[in-house]
Amino acid sequence: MKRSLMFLGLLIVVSVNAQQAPIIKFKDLNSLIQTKTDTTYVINFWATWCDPCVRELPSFLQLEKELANKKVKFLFVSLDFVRDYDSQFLPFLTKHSMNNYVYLLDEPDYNSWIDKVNPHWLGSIPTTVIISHHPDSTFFNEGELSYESLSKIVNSLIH
Amino acid sequence: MKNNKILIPVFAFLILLSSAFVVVDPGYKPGDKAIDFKLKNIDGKLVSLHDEKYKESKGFIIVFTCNHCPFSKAYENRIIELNQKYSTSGYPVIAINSNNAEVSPEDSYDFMIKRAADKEFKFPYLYDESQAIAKAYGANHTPHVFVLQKVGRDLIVKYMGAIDDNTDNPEEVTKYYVNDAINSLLAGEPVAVPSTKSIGCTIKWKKS
Repeated sequence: MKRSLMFLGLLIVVSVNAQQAPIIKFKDLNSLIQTKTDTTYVINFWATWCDPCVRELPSFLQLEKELANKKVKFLFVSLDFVRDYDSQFLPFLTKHSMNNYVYLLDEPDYNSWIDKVNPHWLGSIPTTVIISHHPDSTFFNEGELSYESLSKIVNSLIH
Repeated sequence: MKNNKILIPVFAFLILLSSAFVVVDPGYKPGDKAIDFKLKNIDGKLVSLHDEKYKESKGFIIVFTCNHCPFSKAYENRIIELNQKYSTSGYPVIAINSNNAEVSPEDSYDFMIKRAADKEFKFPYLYDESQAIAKAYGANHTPHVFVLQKVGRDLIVKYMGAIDDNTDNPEEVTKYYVNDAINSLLAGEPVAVPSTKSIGCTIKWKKS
């Protein structure tokens, strides 16, 4: 009985976490990118094993906090392997208090979708895409961003 | 009209910002002539694509890789297999590490020697210390492959990009880009997919 309760407890923990950081396919991300709303999306492609990604994360999290009442959403799209989800990915999120809008993109055929995110993307991470509708504008940057550059560009694109 | 007033500075700023990130030379595209190099191998000797040893080669599988990157590690066994499979038919693997060791200490020359010994590399693993070769080729991340074909003295880029379409799981690969490219070259046919994109660890450029 005790063991099954523990198991149930574990299941609940896992499902809550999974809800916070769902595994998504490219079509899920794409529909989000394509949906025209007045919200500006800052999409950061990263991975727990990527040092420059981890280095720039605090800037993104700080700006996300500062702009919490603005029409801007920060999406953290991880390219970690699905097999590392429990062992590496979730513990990282807990350690860095990343609670919102974190996803793991399970789409190993990279060539099939990189150009759809942005044709300028050569394939390294971190890469950040900022999408704003009304008017349509896209900002793309392959490489690490400082808090200053990120803040400038995001502030210029939010309504 | 009111919107335009806001738009103009926004776009001016965007153009200014994007120009700051423009890469002056994006490197090679399929069909381009690739440069040869003389880089230090893990045994201390310099390796060039025009070395006597490669006189009979029909071309090369140049792999920009490194020691630390999980994506490079995921492909190490497949790179070893590519060399086993194609060195005898004229397309040996030449691996190159272009990462700056100050930025990425695990990618130092000493660690290259160790990694190559641990994985029993049977191909050169060269140190592009100045990063000039990565820049000339336009290698952006690891692993990043360039299949070159010898045409006279020239080395022509016939394929560039990913090794296959599944980094994480070799069992689930459906498209073998490098194999397909070399099989086409060996058959004297054009390469059907001459370039692909893939995710990888960014090359760790020296801090200026």
